[in-house]
Amino acid sequence: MSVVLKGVFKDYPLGASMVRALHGIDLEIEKGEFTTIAGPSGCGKSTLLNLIGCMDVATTGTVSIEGKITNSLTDKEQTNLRLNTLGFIFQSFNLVPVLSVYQNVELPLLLKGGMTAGERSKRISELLEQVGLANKANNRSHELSGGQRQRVAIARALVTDPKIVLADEPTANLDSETGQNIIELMRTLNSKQKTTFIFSSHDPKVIEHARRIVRLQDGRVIEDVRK
Amino acid sequence: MFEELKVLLLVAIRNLALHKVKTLVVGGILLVGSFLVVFGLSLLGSVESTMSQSIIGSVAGHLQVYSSDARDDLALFGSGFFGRDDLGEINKFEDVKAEILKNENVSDVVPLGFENALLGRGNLLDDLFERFRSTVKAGAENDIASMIETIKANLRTVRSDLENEIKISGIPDDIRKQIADVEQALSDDFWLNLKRDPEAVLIFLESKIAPLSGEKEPLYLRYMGTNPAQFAEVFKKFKIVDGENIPAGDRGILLSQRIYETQIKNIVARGFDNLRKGVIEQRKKIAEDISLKTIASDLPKQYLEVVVYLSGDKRSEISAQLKDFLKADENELEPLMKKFLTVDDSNFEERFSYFYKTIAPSIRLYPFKVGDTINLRSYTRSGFLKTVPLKIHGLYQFSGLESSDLAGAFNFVDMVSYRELYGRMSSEGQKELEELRNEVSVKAVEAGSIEDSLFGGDVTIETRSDDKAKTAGLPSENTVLEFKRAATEKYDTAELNSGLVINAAILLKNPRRLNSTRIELEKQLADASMKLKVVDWKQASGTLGQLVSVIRAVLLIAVGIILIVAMAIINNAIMMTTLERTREIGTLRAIGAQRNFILKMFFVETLTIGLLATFLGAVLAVIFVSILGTRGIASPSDFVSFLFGGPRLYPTFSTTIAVVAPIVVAALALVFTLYPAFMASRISPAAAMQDRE
Repeated sequence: MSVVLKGVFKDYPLGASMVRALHGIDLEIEKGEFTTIAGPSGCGKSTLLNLIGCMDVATTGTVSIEGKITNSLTDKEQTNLRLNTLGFIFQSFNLVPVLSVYQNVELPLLLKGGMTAGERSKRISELLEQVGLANKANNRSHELSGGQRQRVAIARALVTDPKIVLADEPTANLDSETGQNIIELMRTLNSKQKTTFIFSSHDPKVIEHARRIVRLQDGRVIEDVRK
Repeated sequence: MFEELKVLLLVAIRNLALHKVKTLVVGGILLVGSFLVVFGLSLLGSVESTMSQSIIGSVAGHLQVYSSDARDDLALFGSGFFGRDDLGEINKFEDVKAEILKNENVSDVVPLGFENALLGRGNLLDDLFERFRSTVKAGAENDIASMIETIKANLRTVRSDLENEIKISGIPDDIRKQIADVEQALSDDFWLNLKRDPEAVLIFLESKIAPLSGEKEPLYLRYMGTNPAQFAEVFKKFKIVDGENIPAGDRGILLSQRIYETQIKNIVARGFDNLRKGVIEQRKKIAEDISLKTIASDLPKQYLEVVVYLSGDKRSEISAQLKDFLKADENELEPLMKKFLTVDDSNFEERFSYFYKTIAPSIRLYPFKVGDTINLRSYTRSGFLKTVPLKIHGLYQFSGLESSDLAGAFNFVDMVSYRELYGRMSSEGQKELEELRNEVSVKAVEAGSIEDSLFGGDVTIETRSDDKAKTAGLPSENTVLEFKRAATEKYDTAELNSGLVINAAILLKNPRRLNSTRIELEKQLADASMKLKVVDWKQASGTLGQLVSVIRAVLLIAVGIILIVAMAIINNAIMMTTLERTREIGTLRAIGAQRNFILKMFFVETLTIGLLATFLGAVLAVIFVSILGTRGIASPSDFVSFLFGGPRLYPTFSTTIAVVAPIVVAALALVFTLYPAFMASRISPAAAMQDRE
């Protein structure tokens, strides 16, 4: 199993009261699955993704990533897990604006360390080739279109060879055609590299590309279908 | 590690370029801060070094030694209070000197002792009547007649002054009586008596008329007893500008050229000198500068100080020349002189040169000159007013400090005369007293009557302090003549270096070891059972020595405040950008950057801009100081020129300050980055998910 959630509740303080974002989620995602977390905004998609992404911990229940229970990890251990096991793709791409395309993709490798410049260069070139940006390596992010930026983000997410890639509404800021292309790219990479992909979306056109659709409503799983 | 630093630097530089306003604000503040610190400290360091040279090179030496019985602290340049400091006594200087010279870092020990003396200046009519008395004695009819005319002219001025005074005075009867005396002195009958009874006429003038012109303020002369030859050799800045140094074995005084020019010189000439300095040297306008305006408006009121010296042919000659020069209608000297002395910006230069070319040669510019003998009066330790006649051997100044009142504050006398003014007899005197005692078999002689019994009252005048008023005024020429014997009295030069001194200047071979030598000497003297204090030049110079420390403290506090305000601004600017960069930081955390990576990222950013800006500031300061170092900074006042060690300060920078200061300022900026950086490191990786609308 790649991801296992058992009886996960998540409460957030809101002013003096607590708001329950997740109501007892039980979810298992297998290795290499291409899964969509679907549902309207406020349904708990982001919270769920944060928990899987080791950016937050469950109030009760357990979250395990690649067999490791994340609840009791220190910040440092969580960070290491994010660095080594997870890859992230964000709705607004979140490239570091001051760095070039190449440097953005290189960043996780530098944080991870242990590779020579030559090895890094080889790996980055491969990935930029795969996402179709081989000729944009030296451009800065503001010189790219939205779709191109998200491709850079995908390359960055994959550069460390993570077991799981999490994508938070990866197509929300893109027009539908570009969005489709991005999802197709993710599908291709998924089938090629057997990386687990989990992405959230509320766009039906995007959702239909998924192999498995987990629908959330008010913090509960209301539907879980595999195609 | 190296790779990480590369990323950090890259991100830092790119971020600095991205957040231009923040970078400019932070960089600008750090640049200015560093500039101020380096510039301020360099300037201060330069002033400290020039000031120390001024103090060490004039009278202080590196160290000063004085009695630990002293109730006051030694303050060579004044303690800031009037009155006499109790500095105790060093009674056997020869032993102290020998002990101090045992220290291998000591090159010389110069005996000193300083005190204030009064120099009565009499008044204008006193001067005039004094000259009249000698003219009468000489007996030349023509000279006497022209002198009488001068006296009458002056008396008419005194009469009109008194008549004016009557209108505002509360005691008009007294003034009427004085006018009656003047009227009498103006009458022809009065002068007819001169032939018959000259003494009566002179006494009437001296006792009744002279006091009417008012007493001049007595001059306070600060004098320093020393071994003149040794002093001149040890203090290299010391320079004789007129006459000669006091010869070995001779008594006498060296006057400060500064005091001679600014306090002793004729008041009208001084007025012209001061105006020249302001108008010609400093290019100020009389009409605009308050102090110049005051001097200019006082000048015409001082006309008597000039006309009193003009009699007979000179009087009519100068009157005619002035009438021509001023194109005036008046014929009388007094109104012409008043008119001449009314100067303004348009006529000053012309009047100045006319004064020195035509008028000055005919008047007495200085009441005494090199070669004359003056009577220095001072209170002895036992409270008696003592007068010692001293020959003016020369005028001196300290090179580079010519225009400083502080450096020129002292007049030097030989140690033997100093001791006499102090109330201590020379060994010669003591021997005589001993013989006298043996002769008359008296064991104890009352302190106040020692001199009288030795020399007779006419040689050294001693008066109880409450009789001071009676002796005010310059003693008459007759008295001076009688003093001559004492003034030329010789002594054995060995006496200069033995017996009583008050303090002594210690010169060191290696001034760098000043403080350790001071401590060594204190121990050495204590071991030799000598109750003496050793202080450094800074402490010995009184409030002045502490001035630089005070300025430094003020500067550092000011710089501190500026820096703290600057740092608060920097802190705020970084805080603002941190907020702006929340998502970026969240992303870095999400993709696997540890908290300390974020911390380092902020530190590297601050250090990059910090070191760049502060070193640039330091370089600018060094360039600026170097430029000033070749051009010099003009001293704004005579006091400051003492601190500057001359009329201009040529500042130098210290490499240590230029390197350390920017690092310190940058480090301070780093400290103020701590909090925003810490806050940034606490940003949750989930912040990456928050979308900008």
